[in-house]
Amino acid sequence: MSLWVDKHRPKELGKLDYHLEQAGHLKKLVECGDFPHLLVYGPPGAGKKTRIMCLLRELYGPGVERLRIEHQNFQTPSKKKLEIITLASNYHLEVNPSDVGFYDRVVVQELIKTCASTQQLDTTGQRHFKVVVLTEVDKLTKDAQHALRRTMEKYMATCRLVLCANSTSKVIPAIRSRCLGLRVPAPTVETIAQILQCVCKKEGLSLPSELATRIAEKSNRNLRRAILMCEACKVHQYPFSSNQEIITPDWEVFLQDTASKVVEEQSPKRLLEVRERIYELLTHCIPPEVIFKGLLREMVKFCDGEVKCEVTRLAAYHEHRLHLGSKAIYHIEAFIASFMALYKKFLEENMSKMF
Amino acid sequence: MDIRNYFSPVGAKKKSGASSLPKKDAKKKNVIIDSDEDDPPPQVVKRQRIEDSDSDDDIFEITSKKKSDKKNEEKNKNKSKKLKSLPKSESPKLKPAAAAEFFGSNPVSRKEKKSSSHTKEEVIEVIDDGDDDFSKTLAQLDEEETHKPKKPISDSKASHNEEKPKPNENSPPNKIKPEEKHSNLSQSSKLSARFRAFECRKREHEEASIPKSTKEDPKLLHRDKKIKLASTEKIVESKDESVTKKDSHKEEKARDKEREKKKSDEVRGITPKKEKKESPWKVKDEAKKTTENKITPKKEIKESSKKKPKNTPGKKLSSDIEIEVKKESPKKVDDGSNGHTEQESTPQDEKKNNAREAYMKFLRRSGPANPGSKVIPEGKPGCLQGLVFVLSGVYDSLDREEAAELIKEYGGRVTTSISRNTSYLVLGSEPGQSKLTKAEQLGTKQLDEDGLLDLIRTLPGKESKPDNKMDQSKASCKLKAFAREKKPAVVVEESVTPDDTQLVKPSSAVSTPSPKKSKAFSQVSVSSQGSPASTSSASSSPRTQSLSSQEIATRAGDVLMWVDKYKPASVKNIIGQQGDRSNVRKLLTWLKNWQLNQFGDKKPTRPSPWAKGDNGAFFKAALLSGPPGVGKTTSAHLVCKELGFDVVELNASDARSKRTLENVVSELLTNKVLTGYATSQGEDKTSARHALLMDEVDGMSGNEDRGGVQELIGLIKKAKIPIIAMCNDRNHPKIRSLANHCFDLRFQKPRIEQIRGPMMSICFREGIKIKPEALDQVILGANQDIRQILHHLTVWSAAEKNLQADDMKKEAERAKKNIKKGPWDVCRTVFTLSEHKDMNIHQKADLFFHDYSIGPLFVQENYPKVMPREAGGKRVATLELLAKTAGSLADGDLVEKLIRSHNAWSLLPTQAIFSSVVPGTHMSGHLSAQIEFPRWLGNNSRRNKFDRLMQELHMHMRLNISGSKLDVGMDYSGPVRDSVTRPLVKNGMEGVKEAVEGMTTYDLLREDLDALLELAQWPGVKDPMMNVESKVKAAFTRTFNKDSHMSPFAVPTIAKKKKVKVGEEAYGEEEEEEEEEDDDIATSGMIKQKKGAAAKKDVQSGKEKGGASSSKGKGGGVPKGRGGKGKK
Repeated sequence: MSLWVDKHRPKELGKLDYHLEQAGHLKKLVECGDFPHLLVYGPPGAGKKTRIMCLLRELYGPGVERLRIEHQNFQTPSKKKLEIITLASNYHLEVNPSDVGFYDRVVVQELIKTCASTQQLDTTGQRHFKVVVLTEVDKLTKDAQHALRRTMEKYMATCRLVLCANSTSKVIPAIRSRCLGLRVPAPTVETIAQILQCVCKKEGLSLPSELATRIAEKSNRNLRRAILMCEACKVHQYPFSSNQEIITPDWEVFLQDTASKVVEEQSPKRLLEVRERIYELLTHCIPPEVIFKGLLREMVKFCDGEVKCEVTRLAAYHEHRLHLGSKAIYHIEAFIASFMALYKKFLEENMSKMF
Repeated sequence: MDIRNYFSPVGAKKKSGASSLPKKDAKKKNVIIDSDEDDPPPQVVKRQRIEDSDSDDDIFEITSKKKSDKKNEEKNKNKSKKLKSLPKSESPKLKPAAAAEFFGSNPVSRKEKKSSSHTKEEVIEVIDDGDDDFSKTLAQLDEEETHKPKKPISDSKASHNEEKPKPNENSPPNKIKPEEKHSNLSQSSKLSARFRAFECRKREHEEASIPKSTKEDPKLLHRDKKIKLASTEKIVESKDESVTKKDSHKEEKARDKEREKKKSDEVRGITPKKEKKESPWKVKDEAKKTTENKITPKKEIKESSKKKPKNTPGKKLSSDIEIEVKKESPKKVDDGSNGHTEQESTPQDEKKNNAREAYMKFLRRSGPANPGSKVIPEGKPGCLQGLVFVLSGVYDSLDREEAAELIKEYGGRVTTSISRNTSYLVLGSEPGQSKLTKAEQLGTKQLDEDGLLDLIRTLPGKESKPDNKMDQSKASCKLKAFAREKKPAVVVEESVTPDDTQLVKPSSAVSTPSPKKSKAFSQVSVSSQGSPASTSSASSSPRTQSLSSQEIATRAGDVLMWVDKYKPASVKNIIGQQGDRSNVRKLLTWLKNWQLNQFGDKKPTRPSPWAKGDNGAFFKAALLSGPPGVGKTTSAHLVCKELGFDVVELNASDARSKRTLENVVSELLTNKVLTGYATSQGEDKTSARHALLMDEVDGMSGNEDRGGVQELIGLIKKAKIPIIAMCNDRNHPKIRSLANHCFDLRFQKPRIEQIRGPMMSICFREGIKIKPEALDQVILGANQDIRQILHHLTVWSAAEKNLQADDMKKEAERAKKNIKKGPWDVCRTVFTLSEHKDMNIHQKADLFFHDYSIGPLFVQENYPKVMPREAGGKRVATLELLAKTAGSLADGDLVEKLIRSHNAWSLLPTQAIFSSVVPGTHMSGHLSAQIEFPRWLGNNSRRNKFDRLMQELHMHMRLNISGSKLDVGMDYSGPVRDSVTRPLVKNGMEGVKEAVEGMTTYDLLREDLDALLELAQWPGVKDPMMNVESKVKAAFTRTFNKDSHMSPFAVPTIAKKKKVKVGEEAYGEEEEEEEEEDDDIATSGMIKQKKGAAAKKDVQSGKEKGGASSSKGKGGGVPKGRGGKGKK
C-alpha cells in the first residue's frame, strides 16, 4: 500500500492534471519523432519527474516503466573506486551524478559517454536514440558540466539527454544553449486543492474544499508535500473537518521555532542556542536555502516596513554568499547575528520613542 | 653649604682611624657584626629578624625620606615650615621616634669614641637647630611606621617625649634615659651592627687606598683589639672540634650581647647623616660586597683598579642627596592624592553589597582613556629600586600592564595586594575599594599616574654614580638586589643551621686567608644560593661547593658548556624538585625501597591509576616524562648516584632492539664496577647494585629498535634491577603501553621563580649583568627549558656581558617564535585583550598559522562567548560586533572555499585576516566561558552520515517515488516512518502485518527503518518507536525477516549474510536467495518483482547460485526478452 502520492501519480502525458498546454506541446514533440535535449526545471514538487516519465512512456511505450536498479563501478584517475546507482529501463538510463559528489565529472565522462556512444542494434519498433536522464543537474560541479558539453553534441545521433534541475542558475550557459528549456512551474493553490479533492475521491474520501485550500497553502505549492500532508491529515482525523489541524513536517516546525527564538531574544547566548538548532537542521540535510527562507519568513512577521526591507536584503546577501562559500553555518550565523543586531537596535529605538 | 662637605672628611677620618688597624681586625669585626645579627639574645633578635625580612624596604624608604627632610632643613629651612604645616594637619600625634633616636644619640657616642669627629659635631648642631621642625616633618613621614605593629611604638613615644622638651638644644641628645636605652636595645644593636659594617667597609677602602694615615682613636683601637682577641680566639677554636666551636660561639654571643648593651649608646652616636646616607641594607650589602671582592682576588684587583675608594663615600653621599631632592615631589603628590581618595572611599557595607556590581564593572572596565597621551619619562636605571607598588584602577594614559612593566623596568616591585611593605598605591580612576581602605589602614602613600611618572622622572637611579665608580656600584647594586631577594632564605639558613656553617668553617679557614673573609663570602654564597633551587652547590657544604665551582669557572670556563658546568651536583639542587612531594623525592624513595618492595615478603598490589600519593611500590620500573630541559635525565642520574647505584644508560644513540637489550641487560647483571678497587684501600667496594636507565624511550623506533619497547616491557616484568625509563611524550601510543608497567612520574616545567634564582647565581658567577626582568624574559622565551636558557645566556653573554631587559625581550621574542601553540591557546590569544594587545598585525596573523585548518573553526565556535571590551557591556553594541565578526568569518569561509577549490594557497594570509585577526579585533575582550572544541566537525560528519542514509533510502525507494534524495529526507521520511510505526503503535501485534507491508511497499530493509527513524527524529519530538512494546518490536522484526522480500536492488553482502543467518529456520529462505541471484544472472540486472514472483521460485531453485558480482555489472546493454518475467 503505497502512499497516495505514489499511488495516484499520472503515468501518461494525457492524464496530467495541470500545465496541460505544455503536456500538449510535449506530445506533439514526440509525435514528430525526434526532439532535442531537454532541460526540465522547476521547483520541487511541481511534477518534473512525473512529466519526464510521462514523456518517456509516450516515447517508448509502457516498457519504460520496467525499471531496474543497477550499481555501476568506476575508478577515478586517482584510483579511487566509485559506485553509483542508476535506474534503467530498456530504453533509458537515469542517473544522479551528484551522488558521488566531487567526482561527478568521472561519472559524466565514463558512464554517459559509454552509454551514449553505443548504437542501438535493433532499431525496429524502437527509436533510434536512447534517453539519458540526469537529475539534480544544478548540483553538478562546473567541471562535470563542462565535460557534458561535448558529449551532448557528439552523440546527438544516438542519445538524448534530459536534464532535470530545480533552477537553471547553476547550469552553465553552454549547456543551457544546447537544450530546450522546459519550465515546470509549481501548480497554483487552486490546482493543488483540486488535485487533492481528486485524490480523495479516488480513495473514497470526501475532502472539504476549505481544508484542501488550506493544505495547498500550507504546502507552499509543493504538490508532493500537499498530498503527503493530506494523507497525514486523514490519518490524524477522519472524517475531515474544514478547520482541523494540518500536520506539518517536523523539520518545518523546528525551523519555525528556531526563527521565533531569534526574534524572542537577542544575545550572544541566544546566538549559541540558535546555532545548535541550525546545526541540527543542517545535519538533517535540510538545504541551507530552505533554512534561510524559513527564517526570513518568520522574522519578517515581526518587523516594520523599513526593517523588513533591510532584513530581506541581509538574507539575500548572506544566501548569495552561502553559495559562494563552503560552510553553510557560517553564513546562516552571520545572517542571524546581523539580524539580531538590527532587530535589537530597532527595538531599542522604538522603546526610547515610546517613553 | 652642602652636607657633603661634612661627610667626606668624616668618612676619611673614620677610615683613617681604622686604617692603622690590621686587616685581620677589620675582618674580624665583620664577623662579629654578622654574629651580632645572627646570634644575639634570642627574643630580641627574633623580632629584629622578622623586621628585617619583612620590612627591609620600608626601612630603606623611611631613611631615604628622612634624608629628604634633613635636606629640607638644611637647604630650605624656610620652606620646611610649609612642609611642617602639612604634617601637622595630618598627624596630630608627633612620633619622630626611631628616627629621632638615630639622629640624636649617635653623634655623642661617636664623639666619645672618636676624638676626631669635630666636624660631625657641627653637623649635629645644624641638625639640632632644626630639630623642632624637623621632628615634626619626621613625624609625618614616620606616620606609617606607627601603624606597623612591629615598630616599638613605646620607644618612639619615649624618645618623642625626650626630644620634645629640648628641641633647640645645641648639644645632641646624647644622654639617653636608661629605660629608653633598654627598650631600644634591639633597634640600636641592629643599627650598631650595620653601622659598624659600614665603618668597616670604609676602613677597608681606606686600607686599600691610603695604607697609612692619620691618628687612631685609642678607644676604638682598644675595642677593636678586644674584638680581635675574640675573633682570634674564635679562629683558634674553630680549628678545633665543632663542639667547642659551638661553645665559643655561644661565648661570643654572650660577649656580643654585653658589648651591644654597652655600645647601644655609642651606636646611637652615629651621625644622623650617616644613618640617613646609607640604608641599612645598603651598608650591609656593601660590606658584603667588599669582602666578597677580597675573596676572589682577581676580581678585587680588577675592581680596585677601576675605583677610587677615596672618593667613595662622598660620591655616594652626593647621589644620596640627590635622592632627597627628588623625593620631594612624589611626596607632595601623595598628599594630594590622599585627600582625593579619601573622598572617594565608600562605606564598607555598601561596598560589600556592591561587590558583584564592582566585579562586573571591573570586567567591563575599559582601557586607558587617553592611551599614549603622556610622555613616559626616561628615568635613571633602577630608580625605583626597593619600592613596592600596588596598582589600582584605570589610568589616564598607561595600561595596567604597561605601568607594571615600567615599574619593573626601573627596579620597583609590583604586588597585587597592599601589605605593610607597599610603598605606594598608584591610583587611577575607579580604584578598587578594598585596596583603598586597606591603604588607608596601613597608611600607604597614594600616587596617581602623574605621580608615578614624576617619581620615575625625579628619583635618581641606583647606578647613577660617577663613572669611575660605575662598576663597583653596579655590582653592589646587583648584589643588593640579590641579597634582598634571597633574604628570607638566608636568614633561615643561618639561623636554623648554625652547625652547618660552623662545620664547614675549618675547611674555609684553610682555603681562605682569613676567617672573616670566608665568613662574609659564605654569606654571599649562601645568599646567592639561598634559594633551595640552587644549581651548583650542595647545601651540606655551601662554601666549599661554591668555591670549587668558582674554581671550575675560572679554570675550565672555556672548556665546559654551561649546561655541564652548572649541572646540579646533588639531588637537592635540581631546579623545581626540592619539595617533599617532588618527583625526584618520589623517585628516590622508590629506588631506595626497590629491593624491599620487589623481593620483600609482602607483595604490593597494583595501585589504582587515580590513586594519589602512590609510592610506586608495585612497579619495577619508573617512567619519567616531561618536556625537554626540565632535568629528567639529570634527576635519574643523581638519584642513582645518591643511592649508590651503578648506572647503565641506553639512549637513542644506542641500538635498542630486542637482541641488544637482552645482551646488555644480561651483561649488566653480571658486571661489577671496578672504580671501587681503585679508590678504596683493599676493601671490596664493588657494588652489585645496578640500575638501567633507558633514556629517550620515545625515540625507540625504526628498524634498529624494532620490538624494543615490547622487549623493554618484557624486561620490566622479569627485572631484577630497577629500570628508569625517560621520555618526552607521555601520550605516545608506544609509550602508553610501556606506561602501564611503570611508576609514572610526570615532570612539569619549573616555574619562572624557581628558575630565576639559580640562573641569577650562574649569571653572577659568569660575570653577566642581567636584570631579573631581563632574565624572566629569557626564561619565558625559552619556555622554561633550563637547558635552553643556559644556552641562550651563553650565546648572548658572549657578545655582551651587560644584558638589558629590552634586548632580552627581543631575543626572547625571537626564541618564542618557535613555540607551537595548541588551538586552544591560539583561540584564547585571539580573543583575550591582555594577551594580544602588544601584538602587531603580523603576529596576530601568525596565530592563525599555528594550525590554519582548525584554528578558524575554534574562532568560529567560540566567538559568541567573548565579552568584547569595545562594546562596554552595551547589548546592542555587543550584537553589532557579533554581527561584524560573523560577517568576517563568513568572508573567511569564502576565501577558504577559493583556496580549497582553486588551490590558491597564496590566499591563506587573506583568510588569516578574515578568520582570525578581524574577529580578534572586534571581539577583543575576555572569554567568559571555556573554549570549546569546534562542533562543526562533529556536526559535519553527522551530516554526512545522514546524507548517506538518505541516499541509501532514496536508492531503495526509487522505484516508487519520484522525488530526489532531499525530498526523501524532507517529505517522505516522516510519512513513510509513520506508515510503518503507526500500525505497531495502534494495533500492537495485529499491526505487525500492516507494518511489514508498509516496509515492503517501499522496498525497505530492516536497517532502512532504523535510518528512517533517525532521519525523521527531531529534538523535542517523541520517537514513535518508543511507544511500541518491545514484544511487538521483536515480532515485527521476526515477521519481517521471515517473509521473503524481493528487493529490486542488490543488497550489500553483509546485510545478506545476516539475513541468511537469521532466517535459517525457514528452508524456503535459502532458495529464495538463490533464486534471486539466478534471476540476476539471467537478466543481467534485477527486475523488480512483486509478490507474484514467489510462484516461480520452485522452478528455478535447482539452478546454481551465481556470483553476486553479476548484479553489479554494467547494465547499459540491450536487455533480452526475459524482461517481462518479473513484471508487475
